Amino acid sequence: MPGIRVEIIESPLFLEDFLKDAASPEQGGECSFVGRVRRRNLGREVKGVAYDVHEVLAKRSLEKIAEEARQRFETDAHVTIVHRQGYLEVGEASVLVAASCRHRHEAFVLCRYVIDELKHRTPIWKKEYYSDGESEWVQGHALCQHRQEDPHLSHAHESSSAHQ
Amino acid sequence: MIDIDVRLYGAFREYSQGKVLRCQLAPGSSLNELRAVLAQQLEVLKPGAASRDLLATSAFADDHDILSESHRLLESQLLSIIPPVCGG
Repeated sequence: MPGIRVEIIESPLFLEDFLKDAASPEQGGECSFVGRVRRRNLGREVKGVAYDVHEVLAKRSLEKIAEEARQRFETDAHVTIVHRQGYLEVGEASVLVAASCRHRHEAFVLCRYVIDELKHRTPIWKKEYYSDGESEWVQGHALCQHRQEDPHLSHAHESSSAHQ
Repeated sequence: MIDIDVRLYGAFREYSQGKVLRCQLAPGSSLNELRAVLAQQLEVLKPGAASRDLLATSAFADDHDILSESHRLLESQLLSIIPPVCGG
C-alpha cells in the first residue's frame, strides 16, 4: 500500500532499519513512537514478555489503522508500523510507529492515533513472565461485537485475564 | 453436522498444546452456540479454568475480518478465536 509500511517481525527491532525509509523529501516533520518491555508492571518485576500475533488479521488491522490516520490527518503522510512477535527481554523494543508529514503537528497526532488504535483493535496478545517464576496473560480490550454494541460498556472494555 | 476448526490465540493457548480445536455444530448455528460447544471442550481440557468468562469477551474471525455476532455458521470452516487484545 503506497505510503504505508506494516511488518510483523520475529527478530530484534532495529529502529534505524525502518526509520531511514520512513522519511521523504516532501515531508518536514517526522515523529516516531517506540514501545519497550518495561521492568515493572502493576507492582510485579517482569523478566520478559511473549507476544502472540494473528499475523494475517494483525497486518490487515494495522494497514486499516494507518489508512484511517492518513485520511484523518494527512493523506500524503508516510506511516510505518512494526510489531514484534515471540519472546522479548526487558528493554527490547516491541513496537515502532513512525509518521512522516509535511508539518510536526500532523506527525505527532497521527503517531498518537496509530499507537492508541493498535492497542485497542489489533489481534496481538502479550504474556508477561515475572521474576518469581509466574506468568500471566495481560488484560486486554474485547473486540467482540456484542460487547461493543452494549451501551453500558465502554469502547475499550477491559476483560479478565487467564492466570497460571 | 459441520466441523468448525477453531485456532487458539492469546490466553486460549493455555488450554491446549495443539493450536486448533474441532467443534461439531448443526448448520446455521450462531457464534454463541459455537461458544457453548467450545466451553465444553475447554472444560474437559482444563477443568475449572472458568473459560466461559474469557469466551464471553472473545470474538471469532475468519482470515479476512472479525465476524459479526449475527453471523451464522453454514459450512465447515476454519476460524480463529480472538480474546481481548493488548498489543504494543
